[in-house]
Amino acid sequence: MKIDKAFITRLQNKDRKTQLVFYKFLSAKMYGVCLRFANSRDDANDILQEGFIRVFKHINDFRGEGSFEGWVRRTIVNTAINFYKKEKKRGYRVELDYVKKKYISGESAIEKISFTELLNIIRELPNGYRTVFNLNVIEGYTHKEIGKILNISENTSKSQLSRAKSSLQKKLLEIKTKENID
Amino acid sequence: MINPDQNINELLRQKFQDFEPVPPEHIWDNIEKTLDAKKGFFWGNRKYYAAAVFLIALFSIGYFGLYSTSDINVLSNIEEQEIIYQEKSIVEKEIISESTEIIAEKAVDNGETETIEKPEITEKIIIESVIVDDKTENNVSVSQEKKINDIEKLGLFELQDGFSKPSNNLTIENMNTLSISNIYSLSYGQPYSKNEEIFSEKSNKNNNGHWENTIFINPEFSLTNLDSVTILNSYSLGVETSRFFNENWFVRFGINASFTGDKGFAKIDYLSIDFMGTYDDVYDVTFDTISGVITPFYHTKTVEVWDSIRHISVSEVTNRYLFAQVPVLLGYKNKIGQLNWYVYSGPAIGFQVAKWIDEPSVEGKDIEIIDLDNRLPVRSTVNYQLWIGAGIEYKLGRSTAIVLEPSYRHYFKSLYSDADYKFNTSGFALRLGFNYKIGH
Repeated sequence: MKIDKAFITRLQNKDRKTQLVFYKFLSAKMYGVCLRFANSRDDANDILQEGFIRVFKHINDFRGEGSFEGWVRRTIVNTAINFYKKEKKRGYRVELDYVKKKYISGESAIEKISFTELLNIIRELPNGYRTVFNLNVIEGYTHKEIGKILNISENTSKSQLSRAKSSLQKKLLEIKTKENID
Repeated sequence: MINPDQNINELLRQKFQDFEPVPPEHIWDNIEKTLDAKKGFFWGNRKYYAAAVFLIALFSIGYFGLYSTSDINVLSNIEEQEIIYQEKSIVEKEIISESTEIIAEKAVDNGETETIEKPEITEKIIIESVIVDDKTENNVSVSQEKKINDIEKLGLFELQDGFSKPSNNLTIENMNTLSISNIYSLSYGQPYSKNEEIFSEKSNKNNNGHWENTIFINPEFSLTNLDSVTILNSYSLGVETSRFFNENWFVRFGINASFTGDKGFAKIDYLSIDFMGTYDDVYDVTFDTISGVITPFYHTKTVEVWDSIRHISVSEVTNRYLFAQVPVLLGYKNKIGQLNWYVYSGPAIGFQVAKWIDEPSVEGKDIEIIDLDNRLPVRSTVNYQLWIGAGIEYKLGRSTAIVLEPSYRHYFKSLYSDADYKFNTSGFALRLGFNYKIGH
């Protein structure tokens, strides 16, 4: 499907059929993003729902600069971040201590494990780590950008990422070790 | 050396690039419900809100118009008292020379029978005064003098030869300090019993607030060109009522039945069994000897060839609609004499009352339509317009006139519900009307 100017105009005119076509076209891809950011599948469902509502509601904010899919993706990511910002207000704390990097090869494990397993590993990360990890590693945001989005310092973002990777690598190593034993 | 961190990042990115799990079906239902709920709160019912606003506006104008009539009449009567007084000065001279008491006595003598025939408010109060006066002459002079003095105290009227006359201080602003009863009591100053005919005639002329009803008939020509749609001229017949609040300003509202339509095309993709032609089919061959030569004879029959042929035809379609248009317009009229001009502007709502949608079809038997693409969009049930117009009025008589109004109409919302046809359109209308004035 091609998302051209006419299609976006129809979306801006709140045409329901076009909205459905658009949702069907992008929902799977965006659901993947939501699952990565979310603690659970239920949270991912909520984020996807809220994200698409925001997309439809604020579609007129899209100025035609850059890719439309990229704009939608950013909206979904922002929704996910806001979702956990609410949670943060309920008691989530960011740990600021420095973590020494330890490179443990988990490459083969990543290649071998399924999406579900990898997703479960990512989900087990604390909210802050997971968010920074997703934004930096998968979405390609810089630490400066992450700092602005999450209202944390650049160093905190780096620290969070190190911890996230360390935790992730540890889990991957466990999987690798288990495979070797098996 | 390859940074293992980079490798893992890249691997994870690649891994998730194709990660597209199907979300549960209920999510779209929830999204749709939320969007509908937000739409339904205001936007879903906007046509009803718009209708309600228009009705309120109409009732407000009607109520305000009726309510303000009496005040305007009273004020305009007072404003022109001075003029009346001057105009009638010759007639009044004889009466003015008499004393207040004598006039009161005259009123007692012959006033009742003369004044009771006139339903004017000012005269009615005079009658009441006369009845009171009938009891005792002293009361008459006392009560009458008191009222005149009260008015004098306000500085708005002066007592001259026993009659109240509007002073130079009388303006609309200080009129607020004057009670209605005091205003009515001004009639004491008028030589009512002798000059009632003149006075009545004058008081009728004093009234500027009035109603005008106009029957309009008009064609409207679209100024908007669309690629695949031709907006046909519309023809309207309507009745509009104007309420004049003073000599110049008016509010007009009414209803117009507008018959309009669109012309466009439909693409029809169909199969038909078509006659392709004939050929001679040899069904038998015989041989015979003619003049010693063996000659073959071909026995043939004509065979018709029919084939299933796919066609794409473009068919012209015309949709027609009947709209009820309700304008609420504010206008200014410049009265010159027999030929007057005016301008107006205001919103209007068009409600679709009926529609006749053309169904594209193909003539012929054994036709199978594969695909039908009707390029003619259907109009929305409600449209919103801004009317700007001017008019020339030619008076035929005291209460009748013919009017000619060129006007421009801008349609805010697209005429069509189809998302591909979201265009603001505009039109030019030339209205011919017959105007009937009610009131003074």
